Amino acid sequence: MDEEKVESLLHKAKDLIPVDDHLKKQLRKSFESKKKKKINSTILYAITLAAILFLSFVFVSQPPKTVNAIELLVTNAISFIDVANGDIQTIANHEGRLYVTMKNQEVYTLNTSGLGLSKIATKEAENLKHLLEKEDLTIEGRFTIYEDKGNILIKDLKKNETTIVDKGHSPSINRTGDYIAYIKEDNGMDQIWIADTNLKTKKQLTTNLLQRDSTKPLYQYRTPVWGEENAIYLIKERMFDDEIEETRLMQIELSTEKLTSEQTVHQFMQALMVRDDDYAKSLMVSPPDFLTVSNPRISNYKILSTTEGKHVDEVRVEITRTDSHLPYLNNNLYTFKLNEVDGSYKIKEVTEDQSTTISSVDMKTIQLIQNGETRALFTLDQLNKQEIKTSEYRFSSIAFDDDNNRIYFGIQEMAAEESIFGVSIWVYDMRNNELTFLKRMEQIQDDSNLVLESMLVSTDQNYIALNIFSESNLIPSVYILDLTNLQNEFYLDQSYATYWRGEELIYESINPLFTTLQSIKVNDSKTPK
Amino acid sequence: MEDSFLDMYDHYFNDVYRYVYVKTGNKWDTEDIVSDIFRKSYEKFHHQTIQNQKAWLFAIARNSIVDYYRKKKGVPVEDLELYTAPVPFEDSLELSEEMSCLQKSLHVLHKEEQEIINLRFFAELKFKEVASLLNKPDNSIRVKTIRITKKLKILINKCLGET
Repeated sequence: MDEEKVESLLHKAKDLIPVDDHLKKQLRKSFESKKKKKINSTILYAITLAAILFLSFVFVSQPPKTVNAIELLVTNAISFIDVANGDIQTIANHEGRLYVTMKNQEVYTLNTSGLGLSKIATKEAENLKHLLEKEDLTIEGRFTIYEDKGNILIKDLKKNETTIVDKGHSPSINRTGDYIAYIKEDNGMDQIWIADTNLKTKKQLTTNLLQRDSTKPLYQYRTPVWGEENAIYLIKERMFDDEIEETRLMQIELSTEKLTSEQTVHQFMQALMVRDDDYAKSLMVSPPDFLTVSNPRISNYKILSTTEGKHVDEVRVEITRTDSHLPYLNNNLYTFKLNEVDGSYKIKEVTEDQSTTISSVDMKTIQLIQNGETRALFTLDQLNKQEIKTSEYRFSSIAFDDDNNRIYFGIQEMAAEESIFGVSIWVYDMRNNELTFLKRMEQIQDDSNLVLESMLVSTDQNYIALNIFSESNLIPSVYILDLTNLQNEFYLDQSYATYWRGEELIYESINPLFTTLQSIKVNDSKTPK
Repeated sequence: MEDSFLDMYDHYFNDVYRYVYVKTGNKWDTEDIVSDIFRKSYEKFHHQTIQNQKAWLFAIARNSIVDYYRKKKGVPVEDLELYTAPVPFEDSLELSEEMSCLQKSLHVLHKEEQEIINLRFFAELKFKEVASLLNKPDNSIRVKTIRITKKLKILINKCLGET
């Protein structure tokens, strides 16, 4: 072998070093999305940001006076930031602000409104870094907390005495020094606990569960951190086998005031839709093994009535499940029975009362199945072809306004040679058997070839939110159509509508590094600002 | 501007990836570091005029690797070179005898020699670019590369003779 051969071997060797194409694609996508324009405020004129979403809903009480840990009740637990690819390294509270450090060492802070994260300038982040690395676990003149051999210990600085608080790790002290939050492993499963620093009581806050058909836990928790008042933040990893499926930031709110039975059902539905199975499970007396399924997913719910009884409250709820991309919608009426367990309401029993399904078996006819009877409603052939721009098309998602007996549905145009395809939205009025075309879309910003993923009618039936993406970049956007005036349409870039809570739309805002759960309220005033 | 970043990405992703993979020897670190390199370069891309994109990108790459190990493992930067793993060829079982001898031989090269091979052959940088990255005169890299290929020749022949 000579030098030339060595060189040629080296060139060949290059091709033997494999490149991760998946990473190449995914990472590229994150830069493609950055190039998308910011939300265009002229389109957004009639939308106003709602106030702090997750604190405003139920947390109305004053910060509670100091009570024993065991008396604190969880009033909300929600994963509100989804950190893509587990890029999150740690979280920390510093001078009343929550900081999130990513693996690439970028530091973000939770906006004071609770909506989303803002990046801290590199220089400032450098200065903060050592402050964010480890929480100071000493309260001057009172005590210091430390970990040793799987235990959390407290050392009384006045008496110079050390006592074991509990088994566990990753302790965090609240602002007043009254409580410690920590992770404790029990039966191979992480749980978040709180304990009094005066050692009187302790309490388990989470209900971690097993993965489906597995003996492995569904969640791993990391770094619980006390926020300002009685809120704990933590990193929560949803596992699939031994792999981290998603990494999210969760907030657990504590209060001495218990939720009403109706609020409990709201929280339960939220937990199902946001996929916080651990929180959903904690609200049930005897929960089933697994809770959420992804398709058909729960896309809406409506609380119809609440009856307070002496021992048991009954809440009637209508739950809508829909399939993405396909014409399938199921509306079920349920009665939730709740009673008080350990000072808060829990769901004891759920019974199904009535079910309506709107779907298509042959993809040509939409049918209604109610009380065991099937009735054909309308067919693809009945649509006005002039509103559809491709020769091939099919039914897409459905939304149902059952108060007015109106079925909203999408028509997905199919790709044909050289032509742009889009989606159109239609409505079928069940009372007079009338089909009406509402709108056709074929472009989002500069991207064409649109695909309709799903649609959600607002609880007041005035708006419909469409999850749409362009085939070329796959990043979803939300279009909100005003059903009372189709000239009004609102647009949220890089977003995905999750569900309506009253007039508020809960949606995910998608950034390359993380997705935050946010909410908007569609304003009553239809005039541009 | 944006498109030209994506152009640069498309052009050099494979080179950067291979370079980092050879340095770390494992996919997980490589994924973290490569993502970091492109994120950093994305941020900087807008704020400067870049004469030679590839050399610029590799300067970021080298710094990112150093940063990564400094943060992650507390490895002193000067010892970084000690942490290189054998060149991660795909499916080493099916390698030709020559290729597998090359792989073994690469591993016994001095770290600086490995770095030059990595930059020159796997990342396909020009002599001039390698020289600027390593702060050496152009010519010295050319001369060094000749010396290294000679050394590899001897090592590979020895390996082939032995097997």
